[in-house]
Amino acid sequence: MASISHSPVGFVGTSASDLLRSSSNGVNGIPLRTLGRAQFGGSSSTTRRDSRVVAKIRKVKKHDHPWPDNPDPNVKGGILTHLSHFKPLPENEKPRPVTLEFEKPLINLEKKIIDVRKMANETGLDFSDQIISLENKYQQALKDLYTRLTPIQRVYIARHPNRPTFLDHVFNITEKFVELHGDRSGYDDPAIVTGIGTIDGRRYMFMGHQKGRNTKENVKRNFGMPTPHGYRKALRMMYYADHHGFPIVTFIDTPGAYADLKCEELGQGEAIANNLRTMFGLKVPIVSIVIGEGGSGGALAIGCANKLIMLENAVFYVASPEACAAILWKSAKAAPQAAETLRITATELCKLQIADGVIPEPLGGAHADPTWTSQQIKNAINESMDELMKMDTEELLKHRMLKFRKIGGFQEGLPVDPKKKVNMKMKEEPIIRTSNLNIEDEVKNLMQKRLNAKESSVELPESDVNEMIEKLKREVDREYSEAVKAMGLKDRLVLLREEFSKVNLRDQLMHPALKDKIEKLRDEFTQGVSAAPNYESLKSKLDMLTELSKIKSTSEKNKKSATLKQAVNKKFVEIMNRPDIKEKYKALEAAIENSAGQDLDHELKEELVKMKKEIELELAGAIKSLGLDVEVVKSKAKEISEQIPLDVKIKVEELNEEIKGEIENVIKSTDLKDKIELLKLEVAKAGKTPDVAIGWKFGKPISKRWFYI
Amino acid sequence: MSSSDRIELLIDPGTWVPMDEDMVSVDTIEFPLEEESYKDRIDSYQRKTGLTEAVQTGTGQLNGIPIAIGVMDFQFMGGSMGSVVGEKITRLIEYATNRFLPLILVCASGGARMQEGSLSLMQMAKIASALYDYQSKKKLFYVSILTSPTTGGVTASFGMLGDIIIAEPNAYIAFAGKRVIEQTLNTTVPEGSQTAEYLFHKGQFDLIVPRNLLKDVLSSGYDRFDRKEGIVCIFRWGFPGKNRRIFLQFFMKDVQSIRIEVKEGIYARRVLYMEIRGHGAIPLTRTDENLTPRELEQKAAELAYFLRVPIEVF
Repeated sequence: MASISHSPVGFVGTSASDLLRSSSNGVNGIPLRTLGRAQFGGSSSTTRRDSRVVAKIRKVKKHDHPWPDNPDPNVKGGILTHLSHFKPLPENEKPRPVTLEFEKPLINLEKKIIDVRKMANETGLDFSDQIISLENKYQQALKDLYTRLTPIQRVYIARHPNRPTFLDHVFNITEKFVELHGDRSGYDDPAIVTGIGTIDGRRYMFMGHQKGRNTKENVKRNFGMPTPHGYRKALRMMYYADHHGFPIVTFIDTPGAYADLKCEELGQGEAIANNLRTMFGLKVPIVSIVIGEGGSGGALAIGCANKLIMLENAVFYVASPEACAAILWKSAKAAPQAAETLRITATELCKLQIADGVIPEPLGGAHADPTWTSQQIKNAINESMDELMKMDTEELLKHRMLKFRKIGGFQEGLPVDPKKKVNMKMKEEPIIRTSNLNIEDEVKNLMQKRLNAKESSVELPESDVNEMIEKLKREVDREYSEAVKAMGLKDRLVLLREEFSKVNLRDQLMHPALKDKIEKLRDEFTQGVSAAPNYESLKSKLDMLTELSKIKSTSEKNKKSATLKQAVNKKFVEIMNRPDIKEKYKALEAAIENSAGQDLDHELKEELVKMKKEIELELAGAIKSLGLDVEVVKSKAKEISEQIPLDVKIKVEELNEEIKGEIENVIKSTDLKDKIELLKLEVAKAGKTPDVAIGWKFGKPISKRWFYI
Repeated sequence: MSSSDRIELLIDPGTWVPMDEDMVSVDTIEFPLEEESYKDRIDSYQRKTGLTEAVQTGTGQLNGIPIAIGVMDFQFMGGSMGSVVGEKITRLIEYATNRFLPLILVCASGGARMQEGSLSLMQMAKIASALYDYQSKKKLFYVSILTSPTTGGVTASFGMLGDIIIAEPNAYIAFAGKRVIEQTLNTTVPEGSQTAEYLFHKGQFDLIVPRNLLKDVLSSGYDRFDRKEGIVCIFRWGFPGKNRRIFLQFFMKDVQSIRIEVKEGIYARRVLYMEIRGHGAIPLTRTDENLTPRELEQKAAELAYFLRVPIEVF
């Protein structure tokens, strides 16, 4: 707070803006020189202190930029390292080495070694043997311990505070790395870190969960538990990598997604689901490495990869051992047991084919030798990427899909005890919902077809008619049952049916009482059916059914007669072709031809008749062999054949006589007789030459009369 | 509500065809518990509930639309998602992808099944992979219905991936359960902070639909043009009485043209008709729908292009 007195002597060399600027530099107040001068200069004049201008100095936040004031362009990793906040921890903030429970014996040994060394230095005596033996023991103990780690011990190592984090590894293995921030919609989640870097000249997109190296950092990083913003940042980076073709390498190290009300509102489940779905559509190779713990969905959201590799002491679980123990064993103390049974360690997951490889860690855990671990990781990445780069996009997508498709154990094909399926909705019979309209239409169509067939004299396909009849029968049945139901006779019908079936089974004659009952029921039904609601449709369907059956029977008959005709024809042909008959027939034919002009000889006629008889006999015999009833036909045929020539002759003679008789009558009936007598006389008078005109005179009326016969 | 009841509620009677009824879980990681092994647990639940697993999948018809549907059941082991659930749902999605059926999944789950370890976790990825194929590659339609309760792995995978997400009123929908949140925050979770209405307010789903309206919401009134089979189905709810359920089907080759009728004036009338040989003109636009001329032209053009018929303008 500085009050500037408004004196006529201006501030030499300074102005208001100067003052403000200097105050923004953090220097409070006005430079003393000016103050001094002002006072000096203004002491003579009257100090007018009526107006005060008060300028507040705002303490502006000093941004914590990671670059030093003089950035060295030649630093290892290039200029980009100046942009990263991730620097090696300053000495005062380095975490103290933490020892886990089961490492206590080792610590004792180490202490002993140090003591002995100190003593050796102090006393100058030679304790080298002891030291060497102690060291050997130490080494042995270390090896023993670390090759036989139980799952829960591995979990503790995976959660070790000194374990190298994602950025530790990345800065160890990449030549260049730049971190990219923000999800472009609200927040930059510190728990997930994404960026682009190069390994051995090849450019990859990196993303992973970042835990802190000490408590302060942990709080800042939210212990590696991402919010939906973090997942959306990862999603954005994945789209970016897919778009430009960078392969993706992800590092998983999280206890799980952050479980908070705010995260629920922001859609934690949705963010994870979206990530899962998108990862299966990325056309670049993806490799995931679990460097610490992999907590359920939060880890899987960036872990749907072509290859999932785990560090030796890393774990991947669906629920943390503590939570699992609390739920299943009702106490969190059972965590070791839970860890054992859940199979969460790297080797177990390799066996289950969830993980694709294990990266060895140094004895003592990754925190014992971070650089060596990082080198191992680098080798693993190079190897997998070499393999995956050879596949093209189709293969890659398929490979990723198949990796997850085959995970899961189940049993099928074996029939399940039906008691266990009581409540399951079973397959239902499809209801054949044939509406009335449809049936009518179909019948009409069928009729139409039949007419057409008749016109074109083609056989109507049998199957259609049969089908229709079946359908109609079904419909009629249904209608009947509905009518019965409507009339309240259903129960009696059911009872009667039961009785009837029982009787049939026992194979006795129908009990007269049963018969009576059936008759009575039938009468009632026929009486009441007209009152039933569906009588109309019932009737129409019945009509259609009868029509169709008629059609069927006629077509059947036609068919039968057709087949019969065919059979008879065949037999006839057969008989004709029999050699002896053939000869006779041929002879007869020749004879008939010869006597073509004249009348048939009586002899020839007899021959003909004989021939016919023979043929007919044979035919009858053959037809009998077909099993048909030919009696009537045969006799009729015989009679006709015998009588034909005689009959015809007699008839012809009779006819002739008749005609003559008629002529006589006609002549008698008319007055033509007188005229004829006159004519006769004239002819006798005229002599030999009859006049044509006279003939004409007679011809006309007679011919006329002839016509009227 | 049990899964069988829900299937009856949604699917037309006589059209349900179940799939994979005989799939049963096995104890892959040999989860030993002193009191009850995993296998015994499954057995007892099967007998108690009469279901073989926590989900029933199959195909059926919803008011005439053939769909593929999967319904989860909370009564079976708390609806927990294990390998069998994952496999059944994945097979259902693959079936729907091959037959171009729309998909509906009704979710009700307590989370992933812990007795199967990481295998159940990977089911989330498996289902998400199948859904990628179904939604993004084949561009088919998937509706997910979230019922009470839906938590954990299901919310983080297929529950929230629907094209349309429908929640039931007052359903408990969450990713992390109440207890976990309370443990993390060391504060109590206020009542009603993980209900459907609250999350709806925060923009997490599309609709909240009660059960009695669900079937109609999913299926009322649609036009279906199936080029592969060559049929056109038009379904509408008409007036009560004889024309309550209007369901028309024709062959696509009977469609002669698409007709646009525009009558300008104070009460402008712009209707789109479909000319069918033998049936006259069937209107396709709603009576109260007021499309602008440009919209109408666009619709007519799309339809005509799809059906390969000419457009007539009156």
